Amino acid sequence: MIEKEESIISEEEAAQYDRQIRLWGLDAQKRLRGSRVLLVGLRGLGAEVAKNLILAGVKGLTLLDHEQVCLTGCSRDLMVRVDQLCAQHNIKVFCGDVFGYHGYMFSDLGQEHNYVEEKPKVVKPKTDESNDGPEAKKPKVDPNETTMIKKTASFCSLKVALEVDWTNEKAKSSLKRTPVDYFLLHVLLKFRTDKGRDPHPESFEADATLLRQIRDDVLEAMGLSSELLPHDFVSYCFSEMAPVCAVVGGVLGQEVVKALSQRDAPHKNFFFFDGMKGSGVVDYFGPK
Amino acid sequence: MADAEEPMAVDGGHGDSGDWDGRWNHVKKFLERPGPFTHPDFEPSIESLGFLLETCKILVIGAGGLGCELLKNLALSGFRHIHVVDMDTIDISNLNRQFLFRPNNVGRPKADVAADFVNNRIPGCKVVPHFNKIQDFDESFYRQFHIIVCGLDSIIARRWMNGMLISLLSYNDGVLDPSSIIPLIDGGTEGFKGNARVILPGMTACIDCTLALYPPQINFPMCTIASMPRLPEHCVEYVRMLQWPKDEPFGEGVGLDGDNPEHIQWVFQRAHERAADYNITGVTYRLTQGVVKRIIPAVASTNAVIAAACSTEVFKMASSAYIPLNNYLVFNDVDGLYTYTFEAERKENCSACSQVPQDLQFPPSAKLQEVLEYLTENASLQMKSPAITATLEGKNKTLYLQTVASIEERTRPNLCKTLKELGLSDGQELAVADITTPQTVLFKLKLTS
Repeated sequence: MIEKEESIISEEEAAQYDRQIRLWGLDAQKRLRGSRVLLVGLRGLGAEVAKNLILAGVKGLTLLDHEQVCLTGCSRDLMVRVDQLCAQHNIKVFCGDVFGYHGYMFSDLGQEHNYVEEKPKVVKPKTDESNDGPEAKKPKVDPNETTMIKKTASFCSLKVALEVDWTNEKAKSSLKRTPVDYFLLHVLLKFRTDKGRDPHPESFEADATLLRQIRDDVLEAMGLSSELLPHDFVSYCFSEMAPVCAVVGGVLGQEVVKALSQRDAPHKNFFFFDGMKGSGVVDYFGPK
Repeated sequence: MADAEEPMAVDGGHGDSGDWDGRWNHVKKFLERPGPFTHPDFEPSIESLGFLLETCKILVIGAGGLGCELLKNLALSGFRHIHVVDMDTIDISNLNRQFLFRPNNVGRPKADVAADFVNNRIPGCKVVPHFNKIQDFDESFYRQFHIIVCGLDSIIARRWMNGMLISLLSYNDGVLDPSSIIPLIDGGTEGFKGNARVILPGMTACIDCTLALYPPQINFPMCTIASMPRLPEHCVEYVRMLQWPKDEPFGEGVGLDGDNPEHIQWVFQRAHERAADYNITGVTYRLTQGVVKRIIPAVASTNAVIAAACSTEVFKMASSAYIPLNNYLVFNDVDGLYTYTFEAERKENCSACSQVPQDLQFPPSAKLQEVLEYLTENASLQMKSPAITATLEGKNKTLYLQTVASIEERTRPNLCKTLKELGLSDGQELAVADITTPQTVLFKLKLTS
């Protein structure tokens, strides 16, 4: 929830946040300092996100964790319920997790998320200049003046994003361009629901076998080949890699800042990070 | 409810080393198990953790945006012998990202406060601070480290560090001795952009090999500033470079101090007036300060990402368990998110690391001034204020030196003399010293006809 902005920003605050105000402007910073954020989960990723949000200058950060700190992150059902509940109250929701080398974040900013983008101003050509072919067609861009362009983005719920139908022809043809991480996420969330915890190195053999079984079940239920996730995928989704937490936490933190300040285009709607390849991908899952 | 009498495991209640049960499990997973992506020569062993905790010595250069993140990551990953060098004190504008510092630390040396924070927060970790410039130390200091990781904010400092590690290399019959190599992991950020790179001095591309990759510093042409301004920045530069020296508003010889609000206010007002004359909008106090102090925007999230990449490389190097990044990673989340890794190549005739003697080709009628300009303007050399000496008639003679006022005055007439007049011959060696390198660079003078 973003409270009514306190329009006066103290001199000391302006000095403290000077370096980032130069990046996203004073209006954005004012919105940030009026924002309250709920952060659920405080393991590696949660700690990094908490650090990044507090440093950004949000008004309040509420930390929510399960009974025991060492328990797992949120189950899929819980995330879906929280997401639906927040949607009713126009509250923006972010989810994220790190499983070994793989991390993801998801955002649901509601049906109508308004934001601004700062773009160079387009100068309309004078009408009395003679139209000579391609010259006239190119709109001139004035690099010195920028203008704020208002935009709207629409997000779907987590439930819908996770329940994409892969059986129709259109979906099948887009499969090649789909990051495999999306399916890996399904497998790991199912593991979490079934076992009440994440894969643990102490029970590596048993967990690995179960993971492969879940892979087969999940992909079969979606009408896809279980070869989509290769046999050795189990090797790199145990525990939480600190640097992967830092990268995903950095990106997630920045997405929260963007959404709260309503400035700059949000990633829509998933970000997957593969620590093995060092590759980060933004992709959309949901209705067109 | 927990028994209040019983000390928490994290409070070091488990033995001298403060290591509670399972403390390093996350690290052991990498060191004691095989995996599909480990280095081909890697053998899992239970001794590796001991090396990390007890023996491995890391030097972190800079305790600012990247430095704070680096110290956190390294300390949490098990590195205990860490030195940190930083010549700066804490400013309030650091607090939006340099999280080892608090408002009541403003004014104190960054290295000291960072070391205190980490040592108190991570039991067993011993960070040794140095409130110094990197140039305060010599080879004997740098030689003691296994890996050096940099979070610097200047290219000159990077080049100096680069040169220092290259000077530590030893060659036997022209073959590089691998034990003399100290890996250098370098990170840099600016706003939403950043890069991380792995340098093995003498083996892979060094800082100077890729000097041309750095974008040129933004310096507006004088004609634009003086007569054709278009941007608010031009107006500020006009007041800073032309009006201030003329008006001397705060007294004779009083230079413009970017940290003095009265000075900035004076510049801001006049820049605003000038902007109004030319119908330019956008001159604000903040913009004025940014231009005068050459402020670079910065945020926590970018530093988190780049420092994470660097720390991962330090861990890989120290454990020899994984193939290091090869060798230059770029990151940009200005618009969407972009990241890419490529192999920067060594420059065949790199003035820092190639050991190829550098040639200077000039006609005998060329003036020393031209040689000076070449050294500063050439894209591969980019020296700042080089000092040139040569051996003439068996004696070491300084031809020109800028950094000491009395010597500058004495050698200034040499700039107008030709190389022939100075007595320089073909094949002569010229020794050049500069802030960009800890060692003198030797050039061979080739006199063309």
